[in-house]
Amino acid sequence: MNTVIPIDEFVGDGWYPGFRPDYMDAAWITERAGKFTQQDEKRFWFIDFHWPNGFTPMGCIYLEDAYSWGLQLAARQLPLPPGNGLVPRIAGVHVYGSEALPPSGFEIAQRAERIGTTLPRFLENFPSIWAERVRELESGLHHFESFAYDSKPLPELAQLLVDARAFNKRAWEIHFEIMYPLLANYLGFYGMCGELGIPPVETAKFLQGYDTKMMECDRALWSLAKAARGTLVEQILTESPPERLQTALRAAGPATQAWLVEFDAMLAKYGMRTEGIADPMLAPWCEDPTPALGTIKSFLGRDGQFDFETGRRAAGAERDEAVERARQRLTDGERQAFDQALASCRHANFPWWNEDHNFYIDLRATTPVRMACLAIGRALGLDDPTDTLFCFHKELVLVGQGDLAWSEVQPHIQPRRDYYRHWNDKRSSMPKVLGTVPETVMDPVMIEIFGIHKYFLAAARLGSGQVQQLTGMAVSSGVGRGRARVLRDASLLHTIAVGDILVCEGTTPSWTPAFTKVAACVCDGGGTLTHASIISREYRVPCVVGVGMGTSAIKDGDEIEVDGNSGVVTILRRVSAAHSVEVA
Amino acid sequence: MSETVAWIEAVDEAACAWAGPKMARLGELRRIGVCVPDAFVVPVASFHRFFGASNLRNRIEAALASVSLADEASIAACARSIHQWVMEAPIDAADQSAVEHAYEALAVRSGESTPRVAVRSSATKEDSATASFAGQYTTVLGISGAEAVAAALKECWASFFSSHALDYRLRHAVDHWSSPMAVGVVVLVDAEAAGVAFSAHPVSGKRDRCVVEGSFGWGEAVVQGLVTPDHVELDHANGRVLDYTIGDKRVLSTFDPVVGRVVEVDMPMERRTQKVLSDTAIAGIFEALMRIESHYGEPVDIEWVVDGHDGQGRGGISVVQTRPITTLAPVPVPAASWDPSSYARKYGLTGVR
Repeated sequence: MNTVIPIDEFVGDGWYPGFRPDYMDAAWITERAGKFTQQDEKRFWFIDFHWPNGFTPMGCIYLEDAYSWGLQLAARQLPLPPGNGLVPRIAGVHVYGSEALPPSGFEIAQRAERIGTTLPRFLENFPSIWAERVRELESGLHHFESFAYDSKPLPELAQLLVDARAFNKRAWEIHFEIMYPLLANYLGFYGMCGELGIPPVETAKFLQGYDTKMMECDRALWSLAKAARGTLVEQILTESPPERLQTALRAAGPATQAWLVEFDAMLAKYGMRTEGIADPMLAPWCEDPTPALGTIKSFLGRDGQFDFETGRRAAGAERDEAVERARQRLTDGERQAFDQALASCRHANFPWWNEDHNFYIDLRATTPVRMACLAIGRALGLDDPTDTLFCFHKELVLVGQGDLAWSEVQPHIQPRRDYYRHWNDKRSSMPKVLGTVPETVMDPVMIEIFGIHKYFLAAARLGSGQVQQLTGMAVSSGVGRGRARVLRDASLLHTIAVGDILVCEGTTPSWTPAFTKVAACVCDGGGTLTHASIISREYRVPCVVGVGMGTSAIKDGDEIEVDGNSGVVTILRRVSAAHSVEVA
Repeated sequence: MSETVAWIEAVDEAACAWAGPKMARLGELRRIGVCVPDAFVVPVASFHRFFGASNLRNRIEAALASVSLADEASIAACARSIHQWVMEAPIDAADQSAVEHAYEALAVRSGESTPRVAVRSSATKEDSATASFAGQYTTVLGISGAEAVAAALKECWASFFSSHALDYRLRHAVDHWSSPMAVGVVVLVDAEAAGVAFSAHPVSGKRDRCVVEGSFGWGEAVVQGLVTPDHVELDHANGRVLDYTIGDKRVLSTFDPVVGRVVEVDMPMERRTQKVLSDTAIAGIFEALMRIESHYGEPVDIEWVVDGHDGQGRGGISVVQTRPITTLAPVPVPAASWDPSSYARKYGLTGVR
């Protein structure tokens, strides 16, 4: 008997007030984005952990441009023989994904043949392809980031908003164009290592420890923390609440001047990035540097215990040792195949790229959309320019072009803000999965990035209840014990103490600083290639992902044990239980 | 076809029909230059003479006629009776004297007055039997003296009618006399260590790696699965050690002078997790294994012994048994070779993680 989690609540919901179907009529490849319909209950849907806050109307461009265009296009272009990528549905403001309807048997056979030539060619040319894409992304980013938004007439800003969306869409085309073949290659490598008898936890180490753009950015913050140590800056950083840090530092006079020059130089280089992924609601650091200052503050909190450089060198050394250990156990013939496969995966390194690209795409490519929206808001003379983020993209373009009066849109804004807030507050009680739970899924992104593997599916069938133990994928070795900190998003990261265990739906790059402090990490979603998995290996923190119901089964403050070798997470002692449960 | 006791050097693969495959192959190994212990064979002709005399064969057939397959107890009772008759019946006088003379000659050849020997069954169709049956016939380890050898010879012959053997032949409707038994009398190598080796991986079927398993003392504890032996994997191409896992060896097969046989005792604590095989010993086992595999042209397993008194210092390898590996997958598992699209199709896009 199939387990079915009903979707009626979301089918019946009226969604954002004032929504018109033509506001979301962008072209799609295989299946369009949209609200749940009753037929969707027959399919399997998982909540997308990348957006713990859900989407405002403007944010919904991601559903059309990334999911139903970029991702589905890439699945056809590579091609993925059995799959068409993913399709999104929106429940309130929250996004669920599912496998897009599959190709026919005929098409699968044709695609299987095609991938035989497309994949090796892509892998061989990966460095030059990625370099080309980076140039394209940088030139686009430069255009929007250096644009003089103010004092431009509304129609020009409307065109800018159209361009910003087109750029964002292109960025996500690139994202999945690169991601699928790298992922397919890495999974093939993983499978081959399995055939050679190499334990998965070892295989995961083989590609770690290479420097990425994201690490470069984290290191810049780390050296700012080092420069602040023992100065007035450290004192201010330690004593002021995060949201007042900037004001306090800037008001402190000459004593912080030199440090602020360095800080501003860092912002000039990295300030266009946000703390989360592809959400126009997120302000980039240059608009609001609180997250960057918060990260510097948390680095200072480590009392010099964590050293970035040492950590990276250790990850590299661990990688080299793991490779040697594995090679020692292979026959000469097997070694030849292993060496070739490893060289191919280093040449086209998925774990590396999966971090590196965040700096150009995930954390940055949507910023121009926000900037154009806010510029329109200012040109409209709005008290709060972020009201424009509660417009659908097409709606705001019409306003900018003069084809729709703001006075017609304005009455919807507050109700839409209320709607957003309402569903935002419901996030932690949203079902992790909806519809009909299957035996298995096909799409590699769904499996490896969202973690919809057998453990997750098993947890989805069981529900959370009073479980004492959860099983997921062991993605970073070691065992950690400590107090669970169950966090919904990165905003409370600074409350994590050294030795705590991070429990969350999944992490994005903004969570990275926490990995210098935590004793272990547990994620509801995720596979071997999720952000949390890659980062925990880089920082050598035990980690289990894809446990399914961690954020519901584990309560903030529970004492838990995370076994990054076996994939088992055990609740040792309940924080609120009248009687504590000791598990041997 | 030898009608009477034959020396190991007179035995080769062609002697299967009268020496049994176990002894025939041991002779063959000696012929191709593998170090095997000195030995002689009591041929199937002696077996026939023994059972043909004293009305033994008729009594056995009469007893078997009343046995029912469905009745395990009747088979066991029949086997007990036959064992008793066999042990009481005299060996043909000429055979008895041939065995005694051969044992004395073995003493001369080995330079010991009463060499310890292993008396091993070598039934003519033992290898073609199913895996559940192979190795069920008796081997007596570590006895010495002509009289004891003669008694052990009868033990082996009696095991031909053990309840297990009877049950097997009745179940498969095999004629009892169609696969007679030869017996080998083999000098017992003073085993520093012993065990088994496979020229292909017996579990995965991979032909590119060899497996060696061994423990201290004689190989019985390893063969019977009484210990977790040291486990070594080797590159089939060159014998490089890929993996050496030290086992917890709780039982030791050792010679007990009081009983006059090899017996199983507790392994001394300090030796339980001690490494059994030196690089030299591993290299010796690998060399023998490769020589035998290439001679037969198919994957083989062997039982090997590290001779504690080989005269040349320690570490000489003797092979005491070899067989084709019958349980391997017939088609070799293809060795890994990197092709990104086929691996991506196999693992990236299947939904099986």
